[in-house]
Amino acid sequence: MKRLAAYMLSAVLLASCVNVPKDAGFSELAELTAPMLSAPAEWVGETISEQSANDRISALLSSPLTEASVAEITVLANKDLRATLYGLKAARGDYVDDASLPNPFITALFIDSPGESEEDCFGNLTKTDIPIGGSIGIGYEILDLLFFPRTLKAAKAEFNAAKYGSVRQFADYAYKARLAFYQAMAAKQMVGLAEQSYKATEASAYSAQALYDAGNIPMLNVNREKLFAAQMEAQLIQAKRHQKMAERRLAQAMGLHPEKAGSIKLEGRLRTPDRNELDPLPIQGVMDRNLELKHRGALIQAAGARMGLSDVMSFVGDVEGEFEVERHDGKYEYEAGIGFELPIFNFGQGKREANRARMEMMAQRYEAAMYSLNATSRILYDELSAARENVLLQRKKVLPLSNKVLQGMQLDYNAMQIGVFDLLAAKREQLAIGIAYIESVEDYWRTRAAYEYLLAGGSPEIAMTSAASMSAGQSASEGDH
Amino acid sequence: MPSRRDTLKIAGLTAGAVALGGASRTGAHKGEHLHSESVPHKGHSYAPGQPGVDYKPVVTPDGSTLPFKVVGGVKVFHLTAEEVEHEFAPGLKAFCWGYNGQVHGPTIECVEGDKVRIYVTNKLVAPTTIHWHGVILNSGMDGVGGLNQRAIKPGETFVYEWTFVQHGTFMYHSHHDEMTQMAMGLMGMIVVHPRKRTEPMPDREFAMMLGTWAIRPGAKRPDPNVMSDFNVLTINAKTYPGTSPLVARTGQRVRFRIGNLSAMDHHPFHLHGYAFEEVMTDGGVIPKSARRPETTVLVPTGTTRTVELVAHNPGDWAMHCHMTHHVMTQMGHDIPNMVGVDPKDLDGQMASLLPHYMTMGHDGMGEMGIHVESGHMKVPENSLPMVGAQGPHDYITMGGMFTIFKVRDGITSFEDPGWYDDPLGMARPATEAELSRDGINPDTMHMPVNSHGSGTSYGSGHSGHSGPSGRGEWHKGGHDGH
Ligand SMILES: [Cu+2]
Repeated sequence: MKRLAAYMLSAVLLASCVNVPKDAGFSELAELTAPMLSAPAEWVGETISEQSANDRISALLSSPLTEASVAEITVLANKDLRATLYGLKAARGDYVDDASLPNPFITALFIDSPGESEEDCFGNLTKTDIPIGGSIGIGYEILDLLFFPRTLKAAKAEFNAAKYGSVRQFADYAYKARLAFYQAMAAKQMVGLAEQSYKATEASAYSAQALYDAGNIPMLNVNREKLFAAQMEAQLIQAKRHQKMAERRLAQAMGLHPEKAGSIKLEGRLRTPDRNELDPLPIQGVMDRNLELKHRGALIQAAGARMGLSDVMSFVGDVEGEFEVERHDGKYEYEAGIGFELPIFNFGQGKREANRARMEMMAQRYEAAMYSLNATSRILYDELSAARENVLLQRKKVLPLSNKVLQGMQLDYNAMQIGVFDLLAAKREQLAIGIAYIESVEDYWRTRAAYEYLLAGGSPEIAMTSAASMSAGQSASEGDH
Repeated sequence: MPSRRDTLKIAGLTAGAVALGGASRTGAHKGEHLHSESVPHKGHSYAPGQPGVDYKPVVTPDGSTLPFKVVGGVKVFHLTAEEVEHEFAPGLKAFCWGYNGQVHGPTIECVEGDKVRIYVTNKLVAPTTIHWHGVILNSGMDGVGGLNQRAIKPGETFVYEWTFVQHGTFMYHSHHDEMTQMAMGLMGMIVVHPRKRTEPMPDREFAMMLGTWAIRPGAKRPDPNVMSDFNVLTINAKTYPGTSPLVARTGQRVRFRIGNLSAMDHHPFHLHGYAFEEVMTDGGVIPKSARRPETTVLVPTGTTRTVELVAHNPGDWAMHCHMTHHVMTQMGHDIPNMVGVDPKDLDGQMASLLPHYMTMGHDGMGEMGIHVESGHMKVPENSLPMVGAQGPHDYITMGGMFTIFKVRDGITSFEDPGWYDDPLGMARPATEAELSRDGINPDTMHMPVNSHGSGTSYGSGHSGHSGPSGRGEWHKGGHDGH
């Protein structure tokens, strides 16, 4: 009995000194997300006021967007991301809750009877006088107390799991906004080229009309050129449609109110990758920093701690201590007792087996996630190297050559070796090569964003590129004219 | 190696069939031949003909005559087939195949009865042979690869040997992989003077080889694969303005010996200011009775035509193939017809797409050469698209197979005498006084349009007529309807 009391006392002490982060782990989230964001993490309503956040968003929107401003706006505006922070706060609450000792259960009984009337055999009522009395009982789940340190451990692990999950989500929103930014930039550049392509076909049609007016070609040829111009106009409409969608998606990814989507400014063009060679893949660092693995690890820890409890509970069931004070007829009576489940039918075997299997399942999933992450890292690294090589090649060889070809065609036109239609067709071919280039730059930046996200602890999804779409850039030339 | 006697025998020369000069030829009787002999050959041999004695050497404009030496009474020549970087005209060079460092090969000039030995060294990358086109010789010397001999491999030197039993204008060219080797330039002229003159000796003779080439603007090698779109048309492998003028003194008897070894083209060769007579083909002398005056002689491919005139009309006279596409250099033929097209604001529309664009051809192609030569219209390097030359009065919008026959009074040097200043005057803007005198209104035009012979006036928007005065009444065309 003495030992039990000492144990309980130590549990109480333990509970009182549990260190639950006061900011619900936000500062740790900020620290963990720092390498993934080109902007500081903020918690609107906590670390920054709603008003300052809105002012900042407006200020950022007044200039052309950059990767950094997209990240900052996302942090300040995205409600999903904000929800994630409240999720983190909730997890903290749960932790605080779990880290407190369970309360005892008190029952109190108070008796103040007006007396009882008894009916005698003649039907007369006689009142029996009974004095005032009552009882107070305290019940306590003893196992809760016994296993409190273990509960505490589980709670901590669960909080950590929740924290890593939140950090992941937080960073994921910023990452997706970054992808949307690249897409929107590329879409805008595409419209520029589609406009020029359309202009080139329109000029062709215009020339054809002039030739027809002079009596030099039949209407058939004019209509062919006009048909082609109309097709290119349709392509321009498609390009504009993609641009609009990409901008709306970007606004959506940043969490802007749809009404603000129109205020997005995009200028310039996607940068060419720098000349520096890619550093070797730091595979161990990727594994160490990965939030998904951390999340899974914390979940396993929590589950392990919970399983210890569950194992005992499954066998012992409830153990309840009870102490009752009763006053009766002016006298106090004391009662103490213990109640527990009698394991005669269910020895908890099934429960324990299930626990073991679940643990094993989680462990296997963890391993699988490690493998998958390892593979993803290597794929992304290769993809980024290839995408980079592709852009640099296009930049260094394809674009200059395509310009030289067009210049040559212009000389041929000057030398009357080709006509205006061929010259315009050559211009369109050059533009098609420009489109392929933009595709390659967009591909590079999206892959790079994924790779950087990976390095910082994220788990980007890899979209498998079909072999067919990989060679799409090569079908640059259009039909003969 | 067959002996000379064998050569003569193989050449089909039988004693009774020897015709003297061109005069006795009346037709191809059995046992008679058509090539031209001025002296008997069977059983005769002649000393090597001497330039300046037996003949006045022919001039090969922009070319040369192959030197020879005499060894034991035989004229010995040496031709080396090799690659040559050749200039067609300033601004256009190409790697061609020629002989002795030139394209085409030098003219071989002999006198009827000359015994010749011609060494041929092959310094090409390909085997080759030489065929002596139109020359009567024994079959073994005819030069058809595979048929008459094996091909001369690169590095080898072959020798050909025969006696000229005829006079006339002939040619030589590769007869191995002709399609490639002739397209690359392996050809030259052969001029054989008569041993005995039956007609007056010409004072000036010009040997001219017509040729066609395909050189894409910006390329530096003729393309033998081209079959019809030849874009460099040459006289002695020069394209105008690369062709040197042919100069003669007034009163001189002038002969043009014109050969054509174009791949696919015949050339109606035309001379301004003269009528001339076609006196010879590569088959022989045309009987005087069969000659007729001409201003244009058609020179089919694989033939020579020799025409003669007396240069009585001084001046600068255009001489050119009359096929209009043969007097253009490096013209493209797959371009849309822009004539009459109103460029409107097309140039403006194109400015953002193609800053160097300029609508061309809407007023014809005459200005093209000026644009190119002035340098404001950049064209591919090493090309002469549509280029002509600046003349004394304006830009000469001719290229290709074009040259100038310059006849001057009393000259002693046959260097280019410069432009002719016609003392009799030249076309110039009409003066108001002249217009008025002759009742010419530039705004009206008269065309008989119906069978009644009535003229209808066409003007710019108003119907004019020839004017009220008695001056300059138009005579109707001489027929008065039915
Ligand atoms: Cu011609």
